[in-house]
Amino acid sequence: MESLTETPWDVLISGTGLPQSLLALALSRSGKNVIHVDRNAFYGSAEAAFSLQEAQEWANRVNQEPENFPFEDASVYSPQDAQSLPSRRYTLSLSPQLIYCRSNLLPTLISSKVYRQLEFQAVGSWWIHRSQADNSGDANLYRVPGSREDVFADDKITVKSKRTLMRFLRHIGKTQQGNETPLGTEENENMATPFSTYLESKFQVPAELLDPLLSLSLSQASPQKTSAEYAVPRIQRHLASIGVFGPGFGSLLAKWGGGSEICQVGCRALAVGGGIYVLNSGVESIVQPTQGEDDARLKVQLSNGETINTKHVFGSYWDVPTDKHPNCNRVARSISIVSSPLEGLFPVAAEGAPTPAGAVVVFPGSSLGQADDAPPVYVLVHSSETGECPPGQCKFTFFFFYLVQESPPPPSPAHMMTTFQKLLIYIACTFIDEKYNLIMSFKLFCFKFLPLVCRSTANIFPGVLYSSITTPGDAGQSLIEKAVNKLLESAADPSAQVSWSLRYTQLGRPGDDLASPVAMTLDHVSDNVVCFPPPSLDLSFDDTVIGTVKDAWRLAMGDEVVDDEFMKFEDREGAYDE
Amino acid sequence: MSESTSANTPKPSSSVKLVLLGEAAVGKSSLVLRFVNNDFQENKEPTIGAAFLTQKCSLPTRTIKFEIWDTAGQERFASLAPMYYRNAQAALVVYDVTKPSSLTKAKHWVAELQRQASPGIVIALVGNKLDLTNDGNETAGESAATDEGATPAGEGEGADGENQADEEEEEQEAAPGDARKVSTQEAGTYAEEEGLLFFETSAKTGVNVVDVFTAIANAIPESSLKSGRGPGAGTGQTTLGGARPAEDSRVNLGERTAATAKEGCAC
Repeated sequence: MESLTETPWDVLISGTGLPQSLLALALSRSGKNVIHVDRNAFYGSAEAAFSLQEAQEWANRVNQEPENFPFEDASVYSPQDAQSLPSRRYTLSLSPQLIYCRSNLLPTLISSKVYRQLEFQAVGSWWIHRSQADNSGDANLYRVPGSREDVFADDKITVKSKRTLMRFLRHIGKTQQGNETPLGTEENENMATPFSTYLESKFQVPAELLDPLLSLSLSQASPQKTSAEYAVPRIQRHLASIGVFGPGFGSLLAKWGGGSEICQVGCRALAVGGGIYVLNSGVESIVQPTQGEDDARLKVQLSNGETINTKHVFGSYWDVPTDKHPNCNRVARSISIVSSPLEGLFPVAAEGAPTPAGAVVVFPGSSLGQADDAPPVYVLVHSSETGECPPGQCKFTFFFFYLVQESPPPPSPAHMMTTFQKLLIYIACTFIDEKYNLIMSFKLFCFKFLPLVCRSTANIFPGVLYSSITTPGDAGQSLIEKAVNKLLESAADPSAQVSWSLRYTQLGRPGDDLASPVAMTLDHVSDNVVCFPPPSLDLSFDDTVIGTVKDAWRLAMGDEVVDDEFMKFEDREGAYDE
Repeated sequence: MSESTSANTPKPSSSVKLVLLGEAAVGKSSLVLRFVNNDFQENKEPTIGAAFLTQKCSLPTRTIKFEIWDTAGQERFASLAPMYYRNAQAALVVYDVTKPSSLTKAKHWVAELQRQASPGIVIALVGNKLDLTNDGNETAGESAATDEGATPAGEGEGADGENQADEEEEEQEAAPGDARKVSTQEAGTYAEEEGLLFFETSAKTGVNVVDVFTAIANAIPESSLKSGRGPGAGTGQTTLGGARPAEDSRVNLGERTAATAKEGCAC
């Protein structure tokens, strides 16, 4: 094995989170000697993805060594016997952020050619939960009209409201296209006011439309604290993203674990380019070189005992030894596996649109029994199409059959057995062993109750909910729990429940609507030792990451930097056959 | 290559993620290069220039598009994390028939896959560098002969039915003497015990290379193909005919004109 100590390294990257992995990608064709280390045994740092078993181990470590993670108070909750869940069939992501089609991440992934190794899926509808005050008999979940076409088609909004709403959408659409009058320059357009005031005073948008519009901005602050300045550009982004990569959706998620997949791909790109990867090895200490030496390098002590001589060190505050600790905000988050497909949340919004794999459900504070001015709970719902959980199928120890009707709902055992006894039925039998291998599958008719016993050992676990609220700690977690329960109540399936969940507090950089934002620039903690800003707590991918990665890349490239070449690569020879 | 000319009706096509594993310098990348480009480079640098290649493999009833992931050298410092192979449907675990320690390493990878990868992953154990042995010099490069028909000999029965490959005549370069250190029987017995596909190959001469991939393609259960990656995917709903084709949810960033991958819609 080659010696790491003797190599004169140009760059050491510590931690394999998203900024570090994108830096790795950026340096993958640079010709620089790059070593990339991570204290953990997995890739992804704060953007990692886990099986259930790994999630449990991660939670234990977060609690034992909080100084090493931008997380706190992690706990796993499993009301059922979690042993029965197939741990490895899950890939639960710490970074389920949705990526807008106009995000500058996507051109970066395309120009660097790594997008072919990723699979993206559409995030479809936005939903608002409303408490049932009006006895209208309507469902509690209201689909937010996310585009002009949706507004026309919506049958819940009065004609008058539609008109004001269209006026607002046209207004922000106009400023975004023409750019002749940037927002805020028109008379009586005071962008510092709360978004609600702005909507009401300028467009007379009725109050009932405030929450839906706010949800499109993904603002996690309370309505009163969300300024027009913050919300309007984000709603513009939402509208402008629709249709970019196909009809009916404006944002994406990366299949197989969100941000962790992007981290993987970035690191692989550097490895292909000759970068060296060492997991299970963190940076213990960094010693500055003595003055005056030519070609002096930092001496970096790794936890595996090796010493690395390198010109530059890049990492996050949690991967580089430093006294500086940024002022972080805290939010409560949870990941829940639920035993309902919640399939009503994933309608195909337009002809020719892909089947959405994700949906956003917003619970305004008021719908959770909080004051009107309480922050909302956001739930990102991922279907089993994301590859994060097993597909919607039943697992049976020995065998199982499905009822086949005209359009079969995914069968739930309880529902099945009752229908089962009543009908003349057409049965499809699927034999699956405990490893999910299909043994055989056939269909048959039968006339009466079949005296066969379904031996169910597990339920259907086809959905993953990623929930978030800016209220940290137990208070936030209990609101999340309430929201998740309400969401499950809205599913038609009465047996729907939370099968497993991971709860934690996440530290990071607040959105710019929240108080005391941390600078979004690189932090030179000492000479040639640079920290990326803390991870964003935004629910959508934080575009400023690309800028900080580019800054870091410039530092690493030094005199050789050619700005236009950032992340622009040709396909590697033979890499692609189409 | 295995790209058969199916000018007639298009067959259903599905993508299969295949990962390469094995000790450094056993010829993982060379195997793939032989399969994808029908090319071999002597004295190759460790880690070839591509960590991700695709190649289609045409079977009588369907087309399999392999998405082949190379280790990119990350195995060198034990830095291949489970994410690399977690959602793979197939794995090629390679050792060097002239290097017993590489078989030990291969066994580690097989155990690791059985512990960490998707249940139901198809694993092929491949002893490479057959050209350095006496067998290699007698063995036919029969890969070229069988690729078209791709008889599903190994289907459903794992490692059996593959040995038929070994005994044909073809011209070879002069024998450099036998450097074999791992017997076919030793590795074959192990493969049989673990339920692995098993081949001995030479990336240099091309012997058995296409056969490995064809056998893997045949061994992937049809059920796991219909609704995308992941063994067992869609075994329930797909058999009912109610499920949508796999690529239906995929968003294509490359070609902005098409919202969904045309190719995938055939199934």
